[in-house]
Amino acid sequence: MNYYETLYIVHSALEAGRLKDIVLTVEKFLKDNGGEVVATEIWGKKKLGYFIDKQKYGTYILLQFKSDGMKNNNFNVEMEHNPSILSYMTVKIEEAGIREQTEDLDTQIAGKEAKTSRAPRVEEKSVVEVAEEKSPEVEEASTEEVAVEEAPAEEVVAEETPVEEVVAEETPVEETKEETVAEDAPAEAEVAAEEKVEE
Amino acid sequence: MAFISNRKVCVFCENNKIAIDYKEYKYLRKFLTETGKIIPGHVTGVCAKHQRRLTNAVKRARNIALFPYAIDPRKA
Repeated sequence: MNYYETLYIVHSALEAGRLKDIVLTVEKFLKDNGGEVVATEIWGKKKLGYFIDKQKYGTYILLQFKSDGMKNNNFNVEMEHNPSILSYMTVKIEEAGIREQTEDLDTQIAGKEAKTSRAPRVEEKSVVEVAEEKSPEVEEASTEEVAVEEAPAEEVVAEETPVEEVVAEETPVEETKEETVAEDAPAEAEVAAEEKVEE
Repeated sequence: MAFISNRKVCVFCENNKIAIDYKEYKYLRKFLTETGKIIPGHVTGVCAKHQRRLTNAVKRARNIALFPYAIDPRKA
């Protein structure tokens, strides 16, 4: 008996329940062809290195199994004919390369989903905090960060607009300061020039 | 005569805990150029034995779309 592993890419549009169905059907293919599942690891949705079937993203799943290798070709044929599997690759591995499966399928799938859904919420919170922190002194650098973060959270945009107005009000003040400085400088220069002329 | 060696030492020979595996594609990324080509061993200092394993790992990673075969720097 040898150890093998198959890394396959499932269509990214499949949700949690259907993803589990695919994983179970693949394991069933394997058992039909005399394999024994050792570990399954869901890597989650990733950007593909190149387009496969016009898809930009895919869910990577690693399946490690034990088999005598005689019917691996049949297993590969069944993977090839499954329309929801974009791509797959079976390679032989050493026994040392076996990964221990710590979590079962449901928790792995749920974990990946929670991560993807959490991401925008965190951004919203951070935007609100930034907006609250800025009371009188608004720096230009921080406003740029807000502008970048605005895109995903539409609700927050309404809250932020007053902040931008504050910025708009403040910026002219700075400009006027600069102008006064600029006016002072030539005046001094003129004085210096006059002194030189007197000498 | 003072002689300072500039010879690079293979990272995989120095630290044998680093496994050359296509699944560690994030680590392998530093042996590729920005256009996705494999950098030759005499540039990175990787020895011939490990360079052979490295190229096999990169080619496997390309096959399963963990790496692109080529990156157009004008579009990226």
